Amino acid sequence: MRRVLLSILLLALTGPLAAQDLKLPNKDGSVKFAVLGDTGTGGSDQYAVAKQLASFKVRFPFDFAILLGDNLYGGESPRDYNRKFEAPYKPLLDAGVKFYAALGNHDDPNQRMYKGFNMNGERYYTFKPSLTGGVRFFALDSNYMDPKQLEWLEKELAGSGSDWKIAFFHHPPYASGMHGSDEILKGQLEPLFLKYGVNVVFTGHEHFYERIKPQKGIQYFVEGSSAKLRKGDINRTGLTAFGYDRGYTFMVIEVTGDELFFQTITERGQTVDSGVVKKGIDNKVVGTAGQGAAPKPATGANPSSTPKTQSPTPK
Amino acid sequence: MAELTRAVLALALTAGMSGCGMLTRDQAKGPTVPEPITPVQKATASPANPDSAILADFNARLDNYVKKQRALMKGSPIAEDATPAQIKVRQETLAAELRAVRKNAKQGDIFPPQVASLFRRLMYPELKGPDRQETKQALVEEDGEKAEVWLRVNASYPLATEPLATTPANLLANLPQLPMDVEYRIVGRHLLLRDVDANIIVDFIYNAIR
Repeated sequence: MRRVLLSILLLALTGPLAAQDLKLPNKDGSVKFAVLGDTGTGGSDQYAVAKQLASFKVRFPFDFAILLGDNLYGGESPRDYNRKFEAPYKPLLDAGVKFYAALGNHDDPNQRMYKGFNMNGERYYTFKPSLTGGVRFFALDSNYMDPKQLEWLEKELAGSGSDWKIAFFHHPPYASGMHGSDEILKGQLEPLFLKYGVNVVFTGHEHFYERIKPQKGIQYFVEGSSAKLRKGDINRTGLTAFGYDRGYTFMVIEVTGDELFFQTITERGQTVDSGVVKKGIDNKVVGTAGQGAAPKPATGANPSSTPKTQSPTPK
Repeated sequence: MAELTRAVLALALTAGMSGCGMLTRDQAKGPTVPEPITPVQKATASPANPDSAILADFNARLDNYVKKQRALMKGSPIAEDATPAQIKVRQETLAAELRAVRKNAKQGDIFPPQVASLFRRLMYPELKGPDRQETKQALVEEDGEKAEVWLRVNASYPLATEPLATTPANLLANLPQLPMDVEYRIVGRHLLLRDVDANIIVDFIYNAIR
């Protein structure tokens, strides 16, 4: 009995340490940010993820976070804005973290006016977090990819001299879940991404985490489990480099030089995936080295995540 | 076949639907389309096509609504860094003004029977064709959530209670493009035209999906 109690005590003591296991280089002057998708439930899981993210901020001082859509499920009254955004992320907001949102299929476009989402009244927009970081972000509205938005995107991409071009929006062009890859969106966006050298794409919609094998020199991530989870929903396809659909997750990212480091963490602070996306001199992703390792389930259930995976590095 | 349909639709959307007389906030031109590809483009490619006149009628009715809405919007501007309370107040103010201006509005003002009939036909391939399962899956709300909407012109769209999803992209691709002020929503079997800024039902097609 005493041994059992000691074991429990040890676990309790080491748990928080494991939760703070940062795998990013954390260099001065790098661009650091967090990625959250499908957040706006106002439920306890969203709060658990938010709490864990806030604890990571202590060791990894990111300045901003991107929201991949479905920022507010259901009601959008002032009370909902508070319960589903302002309250869970209060420690981060108080610490000066800026949130940049994209619209999901459950979002009212009026969110574009909300100061907390920094959309400046636009359904789609671009921003550069720092003058020296060499990274530009493109937030898109994948609900309605009309010709006007595509024309805007082409113009902005063409005029961007940034080393890293990162796009984020809700519906994934590549995914292995219930919704699957959005072929229409892929047909619309991929030619522009390729032509103008978009390097990394973050999307949500599927309620799990998935790192896609680099597609035509672009690294795609699906992060749609920051408050909602569809357990066991990843269908093994040739697209998946690593997937995790057993717990709630968020990502922390660091861009420095020609490398983008990523770490994917659960609401319990366990790292399920980490690695680096490398960019070549032609500005295309030359490969992603990742180390995905799903934590063991608490009970005897089968882990549905793929085992440790090293993704190929196609050109 | 499904792949081919999607590829064609994607190409069509990418190229723009300049032939359908669409409205945009500032009428920005998109890339030109050499050949009519989508059902809407085909309908408007030739003036002799009877669908062309129906779509022109729809666009005129919609244009009339949007002009009224934008005139009211000018009177109640909102900052680009608003609080949730300010967003709510603006939405409710605009909705009240629109209801006053359109107090006699009724179902069929924007979607008269011939337009409703055409819309059903435009959506039909996605609902009954090879992609029907995909479309139906996209229409099902997550986690079995069911939306209840009071179908009435000028009624509020129930954002306050239900997490309702936007219209699937393949259906949107088959329908005339809309200006930013309004959007299509599908609830149950019905197609709604929703005012985005005022959150009210502008018009609806009952049993648009069969």
